[in-house]
Amino acid sequence: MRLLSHTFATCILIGLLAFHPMEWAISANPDLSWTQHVGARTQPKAGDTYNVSDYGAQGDGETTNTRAIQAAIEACAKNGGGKVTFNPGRYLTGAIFLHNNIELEIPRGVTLLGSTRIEDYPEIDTRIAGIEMRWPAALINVLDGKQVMISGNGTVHAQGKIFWDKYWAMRKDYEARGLRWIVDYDCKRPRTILVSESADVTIKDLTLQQAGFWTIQLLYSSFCTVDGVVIQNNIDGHGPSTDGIDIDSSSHILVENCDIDCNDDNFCLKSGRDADGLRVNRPTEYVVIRNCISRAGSGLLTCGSETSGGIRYVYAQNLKAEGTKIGFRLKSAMNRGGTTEHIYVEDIEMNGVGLVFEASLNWNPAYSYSQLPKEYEGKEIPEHWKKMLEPVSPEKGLPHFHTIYLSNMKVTNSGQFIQVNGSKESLVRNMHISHIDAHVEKAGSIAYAADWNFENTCIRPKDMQPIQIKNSRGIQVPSLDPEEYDFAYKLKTGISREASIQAAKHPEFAFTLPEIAGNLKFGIITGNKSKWLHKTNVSVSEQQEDKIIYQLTDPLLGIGELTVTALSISHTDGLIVEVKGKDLADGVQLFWSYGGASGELPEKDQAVLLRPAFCADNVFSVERTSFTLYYGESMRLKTIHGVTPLESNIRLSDTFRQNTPPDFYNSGKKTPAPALAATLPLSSARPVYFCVYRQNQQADYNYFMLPELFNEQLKKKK
Amino acid sequence: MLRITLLLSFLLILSPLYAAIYNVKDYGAKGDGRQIDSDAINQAIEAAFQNGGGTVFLPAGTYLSYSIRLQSHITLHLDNGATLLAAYPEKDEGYDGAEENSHNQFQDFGHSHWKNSLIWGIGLEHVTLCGQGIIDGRGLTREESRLPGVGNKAVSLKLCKNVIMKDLTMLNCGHFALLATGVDNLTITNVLVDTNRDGFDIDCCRNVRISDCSVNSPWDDAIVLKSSFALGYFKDTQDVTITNCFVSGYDRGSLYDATFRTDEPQAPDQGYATGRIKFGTESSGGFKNISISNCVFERCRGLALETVDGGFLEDIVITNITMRDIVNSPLFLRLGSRQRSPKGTPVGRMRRITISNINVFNADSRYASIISGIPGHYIEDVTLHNIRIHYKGGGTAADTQLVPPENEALYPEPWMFGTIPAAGFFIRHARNIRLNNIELSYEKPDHRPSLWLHHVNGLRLDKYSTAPKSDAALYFIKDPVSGLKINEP
Repeated sequence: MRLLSHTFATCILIGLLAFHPMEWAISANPDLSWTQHVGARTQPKAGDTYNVSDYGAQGDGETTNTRAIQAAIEACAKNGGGKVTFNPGRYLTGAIFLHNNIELEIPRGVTLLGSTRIEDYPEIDTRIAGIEMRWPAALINVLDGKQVMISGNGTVHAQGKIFWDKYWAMRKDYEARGLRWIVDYDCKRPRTILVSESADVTIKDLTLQQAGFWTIQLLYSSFCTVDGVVIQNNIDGHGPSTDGIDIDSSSHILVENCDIDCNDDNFCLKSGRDADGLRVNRPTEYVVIRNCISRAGSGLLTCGSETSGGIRYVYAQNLKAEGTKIGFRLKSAMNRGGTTEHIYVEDIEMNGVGLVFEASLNWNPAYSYSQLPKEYEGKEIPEHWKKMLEPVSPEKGLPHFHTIYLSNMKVTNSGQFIQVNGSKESLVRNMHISHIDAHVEKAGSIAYAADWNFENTCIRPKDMQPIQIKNSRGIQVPSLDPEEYDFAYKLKTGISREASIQAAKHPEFAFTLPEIAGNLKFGIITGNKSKWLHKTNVSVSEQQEDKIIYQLTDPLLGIGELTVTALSISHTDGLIVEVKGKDLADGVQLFWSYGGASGELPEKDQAVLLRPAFCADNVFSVERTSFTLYYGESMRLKTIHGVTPLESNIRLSDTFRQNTPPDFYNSGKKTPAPALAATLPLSSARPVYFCVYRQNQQADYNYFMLPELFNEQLKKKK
Repeated sequence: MLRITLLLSFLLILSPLYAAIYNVKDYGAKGDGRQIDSDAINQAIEAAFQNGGGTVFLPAGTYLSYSIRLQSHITLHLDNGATLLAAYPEKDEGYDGAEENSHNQFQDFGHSHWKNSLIWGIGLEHVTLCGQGIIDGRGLTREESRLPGVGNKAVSLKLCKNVIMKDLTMLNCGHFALLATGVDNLTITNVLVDTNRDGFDIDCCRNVRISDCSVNSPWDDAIVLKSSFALGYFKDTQDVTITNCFVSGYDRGSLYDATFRTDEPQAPDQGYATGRIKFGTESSGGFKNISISNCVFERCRGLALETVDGGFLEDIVITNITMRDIVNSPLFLRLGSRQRSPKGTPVGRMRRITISNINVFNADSRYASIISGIPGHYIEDVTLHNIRIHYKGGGTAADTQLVPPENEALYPEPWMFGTIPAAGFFIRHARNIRLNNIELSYEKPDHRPSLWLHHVNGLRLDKYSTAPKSDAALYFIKDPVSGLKINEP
């Protein structure tokens, strides 16, 4: 795991830095100095080593060693602490309890096997899923401990499958009886490690497998570290509620270099639920989670759903989700109360996740809201049922999510980007999302939210639908399209009457033949400065039904100017364009792009910009500096041809990234909406020509033919 | 000293006349990637030919080139490190012009001309193209441009016999890596092709062996047997063996550089990566006595057997094929009546076909697998034996109501029928079909019946096992269907 921490961290850092070189820190610079003061401050003092074998433990995988291991721990504790360790072997055991100043070492070659008999886990007063109650102890327990460590490169296999099966059987039965809300509490199952009311506890390097319930719970504790732990719960199946690490009403916690494969939330922060949680009212705060990976599971980073005591000051950095169901999630319910705030998440990579970001104030109602079925009314019910049924006033029960920062995140191959459901009474507020680059099937939706800002965020939904906003204010979601402008002029084409070529007030041409067949546009680049042509000083100096001439100047051209002449071609549906410079500064590059042939008729008054939605499934074949664009349905395939200057350096690029010509040119071809983008040097010495046309018996061109074609067509015009 | 130099120069000048190996550098080729070397290469070929044949040798270097004209008894050897690079046509320079062909209305432009190629030969015998060098067709077009000077094939051969292609790597080959029309006794072995349109097109050829080749052609078919009317008469493609080959539709160039990329799923015809083994579409003549075995398909379309222009497609054995990530029907058998042949050509036949030991994983489910003739013209005597197909699934109950159009004359491709109302096999206008030991499974539930039958005479199912969604019937019969026999699944 050490290896993982460093190489993985470095890879991600390099990757993300390369992606967004300019901005690194979270925007608005919140004070994060508290992140320096998390984790165990001290570790157990060095002392004697106690080998469990000396106390009768047998690593045969069959003998139950609970007493022997506990005896070793007690002996160690009695002498003021030290290390308890094992000889190689497989040790079956029930619950064991550590004391102050003890390091329990599970070295390489040792596997601790959890007992499959629930009686081997004595019941203690604890908190389960946000409710204080009697429940079986964990396999390894640190209760009221100080300076405790659980370490080693060995394995703890909790053998939890038997408890999973028990749960599924009970769940079926309970659901049928309207008791879905209580089954998780009634079905008593062992956690793997519980740290409760403790401080300066370190858990490191272990591999934890097949937890019966949650894997590691840090409850009512402070200054604890979990470092380099690997959790593999999905062994021989997928267990219910096999969370990875739960930080539960605890503070100053550091989790780093962990790798979790489980079947519920991977890294999870909680603080009690409903009336009982509100009564206890202890927050989870000052938590750092960094350099970790989640694999299978329900949440790379989850806050909730137990939020009653509040969750705040959380800094999650350099995390990776690989195939996790949900990336970053905030969840609660309308009877939980509490505020989730000041959550800082940055440098995240997600691949193959179902949902990137979820915020739900009303999560899983069937589980979240307790209701006693009629047949139990008036009957004696267990204590914890009563707790669960205790009503919470709507004001107290209302949870809040605000002040959340999410920045520098790269998402690939994933389902949906966002799903936010606040409530009318509690809007999800003050969310800062910046430097996001996401490849997803769908963008998703936001409801009941306020005051969000999106900065430098590129979401590429394959369905081409932007984020849908409902019942919200102060949210400007990033547009999928480039900046809007009109195509004020229309050129007729040579052949087809329905077809036309639309021209903007700057040199940009949309081919509607009559279906949308693409957009040819230009930009200029000089050194590290660039501009789209609509932002230059441009005017139309002449316009006829088959001809348009533009003049443009700009500081990027020095004292020079460009003349762009576009003529429709008489013997096909197409356009020839001459770009001629005069007195140009040195080093001026012309940018051009072509793409966006949707094959559909344009909607009324819709500007035929280079919209990503027009680019889906466009296929470009580029030969030298000519191209053929294939579009439309397979049964009604269409093509349009282009010939461009021989100096063009052509690339497939991403139309979701058209902020500036270089941004577009360098965006890469991994996109559901590709177009061609190119640059070429521009000089005053000779003009360059572009031709976009439908090929026919008379129209079949190479670049050498264009000057003549231009002159021939120019003569034909008035 | 001077005398020795003179002597050496004299020997150097004379040596090509006597050497069995004709080094193109001796004829002025530079191999610097800048000079056009085709004239020098052609001179070397001509010299060898005049001496009764021999090996024309291209040592390591990059030979920028326009058309190379082969001759009989020539071995063109591209040594390891040698690249024959197709030059871009310039204003006044380019490839040999496309020759006249009075029969070119029956097939595409590309199929109807041979000289507009990087390497071409017509009416030759004993020709070998070999060596571990590269033929890079960068300056060729895959498009339909007919401008003078444009070349569109890497290698094209017409009416040749006893031809070998061996060990070469062929990249960016324009319309075809190889167009062989009327070439008999043709051997292609250990050739790697990574190209932007078709791989090998074997048209009207007899006795062809293709073995140990890899062909990546995401934008068109990989290995395709045709029988066009390009020669001006009907000629079958027959006695063909294709064995131990790999065909795929990875991004162009990514087989050659072994990155196997999948960033570009769409093909120009909007049907997703192509890269398959196919019979057709040109099928004026027939396809007879053909064996395909031990081939691997990856990220491409399924196996397609099509005769739509009047040819007889018969006596075909296909066995030991594994396919993964197939973007349309894993098996597509189509007898149609496009009849792109001289007027009066009757509809062809498709019969006596055995397909066995096929394993398919992750096949697109929209088009299921298809065996479809047309009214009055049945596909006959087809045995599918030991077939396992794992489909993506996802077909809906509503799809079951679809009745695919006959589209008798349409260009054959699985999408011609729209979404298919079957989850496993769509069988129409077929006689004596036997499905034996078939196992179908689905990634997502599929609510369509496994089989959809219409105008089927004699269908025997033995050990046909399928896992559709429980609400779907095993089969849907749209009358008339007769002779249906179902044995134990």
